[in-house]
This record gives sequence, structure tokens and C-alpha cells, in this order.
Amino acid sequence: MIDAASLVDVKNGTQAKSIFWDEQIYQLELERIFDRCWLFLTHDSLIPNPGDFTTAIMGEDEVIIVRQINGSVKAFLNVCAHRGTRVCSVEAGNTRSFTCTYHGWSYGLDGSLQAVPFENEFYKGVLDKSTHGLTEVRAESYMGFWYGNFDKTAPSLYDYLGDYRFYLDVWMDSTGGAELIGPPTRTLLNCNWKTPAENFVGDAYHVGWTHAASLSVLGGELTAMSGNKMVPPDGAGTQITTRFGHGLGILTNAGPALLSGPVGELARKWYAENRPKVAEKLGKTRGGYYGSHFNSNVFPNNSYLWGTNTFKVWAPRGPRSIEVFTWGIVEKNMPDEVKEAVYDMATRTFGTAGMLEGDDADNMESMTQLNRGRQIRKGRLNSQMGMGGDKVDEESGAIIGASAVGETSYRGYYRAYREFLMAESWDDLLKADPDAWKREFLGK
Amino acid sequence: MDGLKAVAHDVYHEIEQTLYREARLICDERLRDWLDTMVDQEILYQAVSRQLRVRKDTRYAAKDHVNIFNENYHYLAMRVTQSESPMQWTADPREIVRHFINNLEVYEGEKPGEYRVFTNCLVVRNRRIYEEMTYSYSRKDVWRRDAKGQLRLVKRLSEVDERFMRGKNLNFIL
Repeated sequence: MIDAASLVDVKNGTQAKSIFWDEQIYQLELERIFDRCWLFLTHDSLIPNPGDFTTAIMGEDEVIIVRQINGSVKAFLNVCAHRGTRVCSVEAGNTRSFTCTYHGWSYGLDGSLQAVPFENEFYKGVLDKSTHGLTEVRAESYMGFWYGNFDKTAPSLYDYLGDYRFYLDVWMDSTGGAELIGPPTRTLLNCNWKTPAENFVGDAYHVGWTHAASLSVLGGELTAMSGNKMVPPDGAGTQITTRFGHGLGILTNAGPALLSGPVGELARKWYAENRPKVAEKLGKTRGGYYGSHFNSNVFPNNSYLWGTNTFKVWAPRGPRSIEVFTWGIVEKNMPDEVKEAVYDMATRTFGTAGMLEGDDADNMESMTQLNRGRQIRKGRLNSQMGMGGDKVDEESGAIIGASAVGETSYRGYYRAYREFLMAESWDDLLKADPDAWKREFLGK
Repeated sequence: MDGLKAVAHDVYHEIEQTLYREARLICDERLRDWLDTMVDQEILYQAVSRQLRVRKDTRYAAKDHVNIFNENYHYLAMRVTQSESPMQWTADPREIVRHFINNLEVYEGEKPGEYRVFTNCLVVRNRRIYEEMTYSYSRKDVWRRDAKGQLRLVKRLSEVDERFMRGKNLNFIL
């Protein structure tokens, strides 16, 4: 039996190293996090027309997301109700049906079982087709981003995102919405799924050191940080965490921070033009955030960087490896020239041959694989930077850290992680008053 | 054959030696030499991964490939400079990127002094103590003679076979 409470020490900002290795903890995560949380599926821009579909992975379950004839979207487990074979073996497309390659059972876009070869001859009336459709998965969208949830009792996606929407909207809503550029790249990393998620949710500390070489040549604002030659000044940004562990870090005015030359100029011009409009729509605070660099993670495993325009899912494959899905993310109303330029830059920085992508992988893999050792595995992880400086932000309702570099969002991520692992159900999770997590986080 | 005109044997041999030299420079981490002596200023250096689709699906409009590299000379040079940094931790200790180049076909290009070159490549990359990964891909190159008669790479499109990349990343010259 796992003592979930001891895995995370909220008060002291530490975690057990075994969370990156242990098979039993992983099984509990699948049950209490991946079976319960909203998990990223796809974006409207990738399935615009009836019959358009993409596939995704929720936890370790393969799913299909398909645009219905009436324009709505449904998601299904990608498995035939007969003998358990895949009904869709491609990644995306447009179709009128999903047909299993084993015996030819065929399902409509709505998941209903439409055709069974030789149904009358072989089944002679014993098969109830009405109860053998594809298994539907709850799917909801926010700003065109579709997420799935295996738990019927989970709050809506809107409520699950909660106070995090205050920050999400800065990019997702500000200039007319965002869109994903696919198809995604798909790569293996031999790390625990939380190692990249925690890095994206709140690690501005590693940027100047892990990425010292790439920053030194890229030539945007962040070049000054290469090799830790510069401490970000006061007011350079903040870290943010919210109720269910969603969090982010903001580097003020550093949106095109990795973009030099003509690409940087294009991006800066676009941000400068649009900032006043965003301020008008979303207020002064968020107008100021627009055009800044965001490192973010929607709990549990969906990360993105605005400014560097990359969008990722870390799909677990056991406790010690993951499949990384990477898309480009752009503002819908950007001129094509700007979209192409920033997408190219996203590929160049965080794509499969990204100039920064490979740097992170080594850290994440050794954080995971060293736990093979019993002595190492017994240790604790430290995320205490900035403790004591965190406070509730009255405007957004989130908890924010005192500076651009700190581990506030780590602590918020793992506070929520612990709560999910300990809770018996969503009812259990929602019992506490909405501000209880803030008191726990701040030690009050 | 496909409207392609094969080159004379001596040219074929010259290209073959050029590709082997390129592979050796990469393996020996002489990327600056590679850039200076083998790459044309007009280079378009691309690599793609293709999404799996149903063969007959013509109705889905979204593009089916994703770029892994899409670099001009400026950005290739940037990558070479990055590799030379003493703070490029991933390459220290050193990595070994060994190319095995096969199935070489060489044809006349669109202009005199230009050649279309097709190859299959297998790369074995060794890094750190426990990591060895392999990559299989095709290359479609254009090589061109510069004013001094030296062959330079003008265009390369690599298509990586493996959709789910077990080699983690392609942070090397393909």
C-alpha cells in the first residue's frame, strides 16, 4: 500500500524521488490522475470538417476524436467491441466510418455499430448491436482546445481550468484565438512523465544553464542569460500556480526571446501592434502579459510555451518512459508570414532536432533512471526556491511567486498531485472549500 | 528512366567520395569544415516526418508532414556554432554520429554542374555510457559545382522512416 501523503511535503517543498520510478505509484497515478483529469486530445483547427478525426493517447489509452456531421465532436476508445482490435490504425484523416481490420465490424462517426459482416448468417439474432458501439469518452473544449475525461463525475473543463483561465486567455483568446499546427512529431524519452511537466510548469532557473549553448547563439532577449551571466531583474516576471496544479511562469516582454533577425522583428511588430487591443479586451495586467514568454502546464501532462510557440503532451508509457507529442501553436489571426516564421522557430528550438529540445532530455532522463539505485531512490527532491514569497493574487485568484525565477509552480503542481493521489473520488476532491488549497499551500 | 540522366562514372565516383568525406567530417565533429568546404550559401536543408494516413484518404486537407529541419545557411551556421560551445552539455562527453551511406544514385541536375543524388542512410549514434540509437532515412540531395569546381550541397531533403522516434531527437547533421 502506498503512503501517498508522504510522497509530497507541501509545507517544506519536497517530494520523494520514488515518484519518478515506482511501478505501484505509477499505477495509482493512472487510476487517480489520468482516469480523472482532463487530458489533451486535439484542437478544432486539426479537425475542421465533418468526418475529420485525429487520434490521441489519454494515460495509456488510445482514443479517436472525430467531428460529427452536425459539427459537434465526440471521442471514443480506439478499440473494437468484438475482440479488442484497433478500429483506426492511422493518426488523422477524414472518414465516414471506422472499420476493424480483424472481422470487418464497422462503426459510424457517432460510434454506433453499423455493420457486422454476415450478421444474420452467423449470429442469427444473438448479437445486440445497440450495446456494441465504440466506448465514448467525455470530451469538452475551451477556446477550441479539446480535452477528454474518463470520469463522469469530474467538474467541467471550464471549472477544472478555473483561475488558470485568467492566464490562459492572454494567448488563447486575446487576438482572436489560437490554433495548432500539425501533424505532431512523436518521440521517445526515457523519463518519468512528470519530469518534463514540472520543468515546463515552473522552471525558469534552468534556462540560462541547461540551454547555455543554444541561448548564446540564438540572439533574442534570452541570450543575455546564457551561462547564467545575468540574473533576471526585479519585475522580470512571475510564477503562478492554481487549484488543480495548472501553472506557469511569465518572462515579461520576452515573447520573441529566442527569435533573432527577421523572425524576431516580425514577431515583435505583431506583439506591439496587438498589445493595446489585448489590454482593452482583457485589462491592463493581461495586456502587459501579452507578448511575454509563458512556460506552462495544464495538469497533468500538457505543456506549452508561448513566445516559443510549442505545444506538447507527455504521454506516459510506464513510469520510466514517455511519448512526446509536439505541435506548433500560433495566434489564428497572425498573418501567414508571421505564423510560418514563428512555427519554423518553434521547430528549430523545441522540435525533434530543436536546439533546446535535446538539452532538456538528458536532465529528465537522468532524474528518472538514477532511481534504479535504492539509495538514490530513498532521497527527496527539493523545490524550495522562493518559499515565503508566495501570495494570493487578488485579481486572478491564483497564487503567485515573488520573482521570475523560483519554484512556486513546482510546489503547486505537487500539492495538487498529492491531493489527487490521496482522494478517493472527485466528490472527495471537491469537498473542501475552494480556498482551502491556498491555506495549505501558504502554510496558514 | 523517370526522365533522369545518369552521370558518367567519374562523376559518380567523385560524388560518392564527397558523401563519404561529408560523413567522415560529421563523425569527426569537424562541422565547421563541413560548413565551410561542403555547404553552399544557398542551402535548403530539410528533414521531415510523415503522419500515417489511410492511402486513399484525399478529403483530409491538413498537411501530412512535419518539419524536423527547415534550415538555410544562417541557421545551419548557428547550429554549428552551438555545437562548438564549451557549454553544450549534451555533446560533452562527445557523441559519435556514424553514417552508413548506401544505394547511391547520381543523375544530372537541372543546370550544368548540378547533380541530383539519392541515398539511403543508416546512422548509429552513441552517446553517454548507455545510449546507442539508430536512424534509417532517405536523402534527396542537390550538389552543385562552385566557381572553383568544388562540389557543394545546395539542397537536402531527408525523410525519416520511423514515425515514433526511439532515438529521442535528431540533433545531428543528417
